[in-house]
Amino acid sequence: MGTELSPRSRNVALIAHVSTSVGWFGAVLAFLSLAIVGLTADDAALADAAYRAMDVIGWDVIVPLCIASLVTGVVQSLGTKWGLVRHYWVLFKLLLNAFATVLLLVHMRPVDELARAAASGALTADVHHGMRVQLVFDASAALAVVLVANTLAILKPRGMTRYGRRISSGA
Amino acid sequence: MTNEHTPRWVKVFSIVAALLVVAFVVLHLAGLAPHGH
Repeated sequence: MGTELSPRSRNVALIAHVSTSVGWFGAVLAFLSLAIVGLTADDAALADAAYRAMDVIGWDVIVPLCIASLVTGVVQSLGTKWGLVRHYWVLFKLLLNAFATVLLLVHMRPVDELARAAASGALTADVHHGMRVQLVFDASAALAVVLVANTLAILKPRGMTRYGRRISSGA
Repeated sequence: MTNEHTPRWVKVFSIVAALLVVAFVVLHLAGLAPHGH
C-alpha cells in the first residue's frame, strides 16, 4: 500500500519532522511566556512589546512550523511501514496535529487584534482583558497538545487499528 | 477478546480526548470559556 521512501528520503523526512515538531514546541513555549508577560506586566510598554512579538512569532514561526510538522508527518507515515491509519499512535498524532493546526489558525485573530491595539497605543487592561486571558489559555492548551503528540512519537505505544490488522494479516 | 485488539492506553486516551472535547464545547456554548472575540 503506497510507495515506501528510499532510506535517504526517509532520513530527510524524519529529520524534517522531528526538527519542525520540536521547534514548534519551543516556539509555543516562547509564545506562552510572552502571553503571560502581556497579561501580568505592570509596564504598559512591556505588554505592548510582548503582543507585537507574539504576532511575529505566531505568523512567522509557529504557523509555518505547525503546518510543516503536519505535512512532514503525513509524508513520513505514508512513505514508511507505519502508514497513516495503521497504528493508533500515528492516527492520534495526526488528529492532534490537524486539530491544533485548525485551532491555531482560528486563534491567531486575537493575537492580530492585540498586536494592532498595542501598535496604535490603544491596548487597555479592561477592554482587552478577556483576550489576554484567552491567549494564556490557548498557548497552554497548545503546549499540552504538542507535548502529547511528541510523547506519542517518542514512545510509539503498541496497538494497531482494525485497518492495520487487516493489512498486516495480508487480507 | 476486544481487549487483546484495543490496548488500554487507546481506550484511556479516547475517553480523555472525548471528555476534553465535550468540556470545550460545553464551555463555549455556556459562554464560560476565556474569549475576547
